[in-house]
Amino acid sequence: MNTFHIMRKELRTYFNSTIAYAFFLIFLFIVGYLFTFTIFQYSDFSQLAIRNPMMMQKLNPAQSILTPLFQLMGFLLIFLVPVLTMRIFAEEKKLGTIELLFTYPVTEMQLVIGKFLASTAILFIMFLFSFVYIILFNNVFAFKGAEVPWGIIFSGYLGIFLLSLSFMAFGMWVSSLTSDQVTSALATVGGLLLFWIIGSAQSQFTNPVLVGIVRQLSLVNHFQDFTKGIINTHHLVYFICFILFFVFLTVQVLEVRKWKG
Amino acid sequence: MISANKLCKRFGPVRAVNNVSFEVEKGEIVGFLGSNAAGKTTTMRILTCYFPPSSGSATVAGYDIFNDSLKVRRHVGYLPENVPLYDGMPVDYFLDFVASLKGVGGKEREQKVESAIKRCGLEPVFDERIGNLSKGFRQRVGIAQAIITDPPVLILDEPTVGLDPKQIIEIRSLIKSFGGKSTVILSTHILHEIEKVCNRILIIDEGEILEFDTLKNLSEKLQDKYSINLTVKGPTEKVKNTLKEINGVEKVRDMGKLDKGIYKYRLITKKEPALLEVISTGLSNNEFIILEMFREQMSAEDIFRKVVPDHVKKISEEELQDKKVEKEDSKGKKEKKSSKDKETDKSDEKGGSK
Repeated sequence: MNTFHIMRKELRTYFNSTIAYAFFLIFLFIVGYLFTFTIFQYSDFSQLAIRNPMMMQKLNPAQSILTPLFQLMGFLLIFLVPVLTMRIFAEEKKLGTIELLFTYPVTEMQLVIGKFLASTAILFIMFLFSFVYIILFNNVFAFKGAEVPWGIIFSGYLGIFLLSLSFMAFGMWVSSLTSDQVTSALATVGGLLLFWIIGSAQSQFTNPVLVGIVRQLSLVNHFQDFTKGIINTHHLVYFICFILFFVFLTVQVLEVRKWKG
Repeated sequence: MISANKLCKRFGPVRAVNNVSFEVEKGEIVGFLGSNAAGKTTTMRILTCYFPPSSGSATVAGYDIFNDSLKVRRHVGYLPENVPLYDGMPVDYFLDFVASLKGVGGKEREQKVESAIKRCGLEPVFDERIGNLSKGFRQRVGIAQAIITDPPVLILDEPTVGLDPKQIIEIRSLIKSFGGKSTVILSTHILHEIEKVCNRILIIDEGEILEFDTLKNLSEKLQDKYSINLTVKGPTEKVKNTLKEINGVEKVRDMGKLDKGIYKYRLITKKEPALLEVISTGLSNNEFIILEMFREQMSAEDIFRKVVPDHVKKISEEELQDKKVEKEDSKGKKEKKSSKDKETDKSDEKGGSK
């Protein structure tokens, strides 16, 4: 019950300030731009393909538009999610209201889960809005009785949702470490970028164990299959573990205050 | 209602609270008195379960702060220092949020919010954002969130700091109105606030309790001399001589003429409670009429100066000296004695507000 009250309060804070609206606006605008861009690219590509039957066979609107779109969305979220997460605990610490919360009958776990769920709800609403592009896509490409690629849409959204929740769990943890929102946002972006690009360094390692570790750590490696319409339980488990790990870590950070000194 | 048993809290090598034990009865208002960094806030934070003690234990409202921490938090209203609040929230929404966290639901919550708004005088601003409120209203919102569930224990950390004199008086009377129903602990730097509001004072320095008693008892304990103020009708020289002859009276000072044949005196005497009687019979036997007679009690300031060791004294010596001069003629708790029935009856507030 307390988790719900915390969530309600957080949601209200998001919607009472401009933060939620700015967040939606920026995301939808950039995704819209990227969507248009990939559609134009596809149309150029299909012009070429008309003259080449080999290429014609490879032409697949879902894979050439939706897959890159989901991947770009994922990259975009590296910069957007920290805006959402930076305040989660940093603001409470700055205002001192964390002292109020800790002296109310709320456990650290309830606090963390409540806040996490509120941000999840914001993301959920945002992805709901972004579905407008999927509808547009279907209108453009499904007119000739072609099948709607529900598979790739579903797995793509599942992937992007899991990815953004992972970003959020990480961002929330960073936010619990500092009382400065700017530091929190910067450190989150930095950390997430590192998780994103770490995979590209794998060719530099000769040690197979290290290569394995680096490849497994990279969020992008686990995310890519989702955008192609593949739901691999291996990746599913990875994301869930990633989220739970950082949620757990956040709870620990809050609890350590009790034993410090 | 509150009992602390050998509480200790260390921050690294620093002992913020050291071996603090005390008991507070139901309905009492207790004032924590101490200089900065004396351990007041740390003690309060332990009692409100913000963090557990390094060692020792305490029960608040019948629950152990360590094992039943959530229950303690449900039964304690806490106003932290500097009143941290959500600046973006409207007052009524914030109070509703607090009540919901404290487990009040549905219709009852609405009522509690309404009554808290009413009791703290927040009606004019109930739908404003907290960030837009003046300091006085902010403080009231802080108190409102503490009292919203009518908790049996209230812990207020410097509730009147930064307010103007009018607001201070209002907040003080608000706090006084909780006495009896709730057990209140408050901390303050303002010494005479303690005299006005609290039943007992707890003087804490460097994490240790130095004294914990009522003002009257402390005054009794710490005074080595009595000073008695007298207003007597009668020829001044004769009165003076009579007074000087009484065994135990060490000094008689003429404090000036009040009216025709009426003079004020100030006596410094040995610490003997029976002396008041002796003086009054002595004067009556000589047919002088005693119009007023009271023994001065130490003010919280005097007590604080006496109890807290030198290193603190040095810092605040000058400031206190100034205040003391002011106090001499206006403030201070006094004990009155009427000449007729020769019984002491205390006037707590009248003496102070005169």
